[in-house]
Amino acid sequence: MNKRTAIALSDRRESKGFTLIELLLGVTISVMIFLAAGSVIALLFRTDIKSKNIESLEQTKNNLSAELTTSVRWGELITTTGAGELIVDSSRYILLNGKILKNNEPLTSDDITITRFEIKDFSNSTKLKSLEIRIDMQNKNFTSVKDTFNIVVSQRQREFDK
Amino acid sequence: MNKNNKWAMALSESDESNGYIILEAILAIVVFAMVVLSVVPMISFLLRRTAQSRFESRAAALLQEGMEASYNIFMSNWDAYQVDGTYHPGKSVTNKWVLFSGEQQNLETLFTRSITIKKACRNNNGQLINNQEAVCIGIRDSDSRFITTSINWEEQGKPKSLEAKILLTNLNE
Repeated sequence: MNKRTAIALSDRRESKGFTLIELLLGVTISVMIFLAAGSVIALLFRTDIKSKNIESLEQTKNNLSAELTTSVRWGELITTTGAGELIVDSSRYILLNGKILKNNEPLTSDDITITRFEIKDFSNSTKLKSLEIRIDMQNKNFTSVKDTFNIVVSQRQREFDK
Repeated sequence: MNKNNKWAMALSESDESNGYIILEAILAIVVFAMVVLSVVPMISFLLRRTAQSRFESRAAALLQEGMEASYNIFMSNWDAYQVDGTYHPGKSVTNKWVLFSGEQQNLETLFTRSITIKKACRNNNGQLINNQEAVCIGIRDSDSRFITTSINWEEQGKPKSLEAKILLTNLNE
């Protein structure tokens, strides 16, 4: 009986000997794969959220740039009354509560905070304005997603001087 | 067949079928590695592309600044600067746009900016001709200026550039 048990155990060791190693190897490999996959997925999620925020900031930048450039370029009467206020004909742009308003209507979305709206006049003549508009903005929830940009725009001459 | 023998046979069968576990694991690792190897360059390309677009958008803003400053300078004082010269824009102590001689290097540590001024070349009918050429075969029009702004920079060892031209006409008498 003892001999038979010894043979059976010996057989079992021979045939089952790799199972524990395989199991450990399997667990190790699985853990490695899960950790790698998990970190890749987490990175992808983070990148996706960040790129969406960057995209939103870029969109706001393009919208503001297009609006202010067109407005100043083809405006007739342009006045700047200190930092944060620009008046072009009947349009009044102002920074209020982290948003740029055009005639009291916001030009920027709720998830973007504008921290600076500064207008400097570098005109060489009183007839044609040339403005440098500096805008600092950031995402409301992810303050690391931020941007600063300058728009330089000159008013176009629309009439002949006689 | 006693109980131990049955178990031994079962284990032996189990061994035969479980023998592929390592092979399967290796296969899985290879497949996973292939997937990762194909995804990583894609992500790296996207990140590189984002950085590249950022440079391009910055270069475009500097280009616009050059064009808009030049427009204001020339439309305010037509003969302020000599034609056929190379300049770069700047601000005077009195906070006005001015052009300084030569190109501007290491702008934001990366860009080189230059503005060139030429009189437009026209034929007898007043049409613009061969304005890309250094020599004008028609007449140089003193009331027209071609302003060219160029931004050059290097990106991963490769030269990049953006250029914009504007034709200005003297509307004042």
